[in-house]
Amino acid sequence: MHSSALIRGTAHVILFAGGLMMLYPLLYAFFGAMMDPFEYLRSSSLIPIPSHLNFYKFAEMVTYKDFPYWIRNTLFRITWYLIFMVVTSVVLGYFFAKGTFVGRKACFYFILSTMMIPSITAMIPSYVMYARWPWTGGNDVFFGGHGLLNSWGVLLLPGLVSVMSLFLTKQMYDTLPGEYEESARMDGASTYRIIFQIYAPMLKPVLAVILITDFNGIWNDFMTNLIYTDNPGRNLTTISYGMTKLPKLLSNIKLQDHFVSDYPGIFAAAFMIVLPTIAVYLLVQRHIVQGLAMSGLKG
Amino acid sequence: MKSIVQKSKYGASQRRIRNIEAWASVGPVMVYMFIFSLLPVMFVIYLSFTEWNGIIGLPQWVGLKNFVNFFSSSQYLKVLWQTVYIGGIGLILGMTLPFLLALLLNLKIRGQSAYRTVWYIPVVTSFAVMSQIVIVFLNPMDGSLNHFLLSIGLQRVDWQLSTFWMVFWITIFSQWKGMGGGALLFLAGLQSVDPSVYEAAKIDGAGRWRRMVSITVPLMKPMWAFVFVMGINGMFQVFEPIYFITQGGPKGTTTVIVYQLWKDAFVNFQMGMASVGSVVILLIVMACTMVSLKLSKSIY
Repeated sequence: MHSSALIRGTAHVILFAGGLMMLYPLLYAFFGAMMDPFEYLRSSSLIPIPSHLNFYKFAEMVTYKDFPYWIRNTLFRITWYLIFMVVTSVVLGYFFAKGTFVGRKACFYFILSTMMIPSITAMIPSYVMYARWPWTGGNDVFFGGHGLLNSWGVLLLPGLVSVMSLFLTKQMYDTLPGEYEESARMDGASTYRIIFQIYAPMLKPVLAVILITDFNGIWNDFMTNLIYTDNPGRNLTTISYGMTKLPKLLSNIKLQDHFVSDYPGIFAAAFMIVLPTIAVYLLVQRHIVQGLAMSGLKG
Repeated sequence: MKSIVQKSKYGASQRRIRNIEAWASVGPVMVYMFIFSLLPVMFVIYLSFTEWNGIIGLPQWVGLKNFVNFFSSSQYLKVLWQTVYIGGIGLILGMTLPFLLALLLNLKIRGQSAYRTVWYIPVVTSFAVMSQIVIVFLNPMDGSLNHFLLSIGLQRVDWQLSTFWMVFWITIFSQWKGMGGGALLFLAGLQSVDPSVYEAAKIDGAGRWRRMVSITVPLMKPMWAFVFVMGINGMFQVFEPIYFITQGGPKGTTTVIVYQLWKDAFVNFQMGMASVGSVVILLIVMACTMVSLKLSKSIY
């Protein structure tokens, strides 16, 4: 659609100014992190401009207390969930799109319908269920210890199947032709071989969407720690939850014989924690729109 | 004809093997989904009819007592109202701003893809992390905003003591984070509209505004329905910004339903009341989903 110069000019102004607002909190944290705590407290500008460009706060925060452990725990979770999400989506997507088994439709609609359940609804009953998970955490059958709570069980078991990803994968399978499969069957290839060697490489855009869903979901997951672990130690804390503990750790620290809050430290940590999700988004960005277009949400 | 060909290609034994194979793969996931998705819903419905502290002992059946309590106590009705009005502001903005943004991002202007990238970045950030920056920013003593207000000769504001300002900042924060996602959906919708429709309208002498009102908006109907469902879903599930920034305050005026049920369960240890809250969210969200799906289908 061609538009007049006036409209384009206005669009530029709005998109540029608004775009700056979108980046503002990140830029604020980035520049604030370069100040020293006293300098930050003295500044009265909405745009903190540091007197020197120094990155020592970033280096300091990367090794601050249990920060490396939080990263490790989070990356482990991300990998674990990625494996399950990819395998379940790719395999079940195949059976729902190309399979002919009895009860295919019913199973698919059952799984789809679980998407209608607001995730918050499961919070309370899940807590009770995990606490009484049989034969774990000191439980006999149902009662006794803490079950899955305060353990890796609760960080690794819930939400292994991403229904949205499964749905997207099934939609993608629907667009793929069946001829490859026919010829592979003639050559005696097994179903799983067909799924992983023939179809999986063709599912790249949707796999990119799964990657970013999983990465962002787990990296930004704060609720699991909040609800299902109680004062988790460094071996159970994930990065988003750890971040929320930092302001308290960094408040009223002794610096040059004064007690101050290390706000630049908070900014440095926050900025660094947000960065990986942005990086992953930039990497797989072009696939997202493609993946969305495939989901049939095209109006 | 086709079915005969297929039958001859795969014999009965072949089909049986395929069935077994499929069920061996799909079955475990079905069991998993039952345990982790459906069972909690059934369980929370049961718990809403009981009284229990969630730690020791067993749930005591109390019938409808919790529901009566929920819908007759002024505290819970207030929480419900606050959810609707704080969420309602977000819902209205969340339906309009992303649409307008998508219109702008759909214009063929220089830097289009850069703009799209930048506007989407807040979506991938985390509420938990960004809240920490917002908290410092709004800190009544050390915060930049108050420092700035003082430096230009204005009075400092105790943001956390004012309901208006807390709702204001929560709204700004949520919109900041959600706008790009909504715009992406509308953008996908806009791009699927056949350009020839616009050309035809142009030839018939329809102006820019006319084309927008008579073509773009109606064609976006399924998209509006989808964004509306997502919006309702989000509206009743707001938790993290409230938890971090207002903690339900000042004086409980920004307590929304999820924050209330979290407090019921893990601060007051009243699993029954917390379950009623969960069931209420479940019913409202499901009803809204069904109605808007029905509506968008019948309009289509």
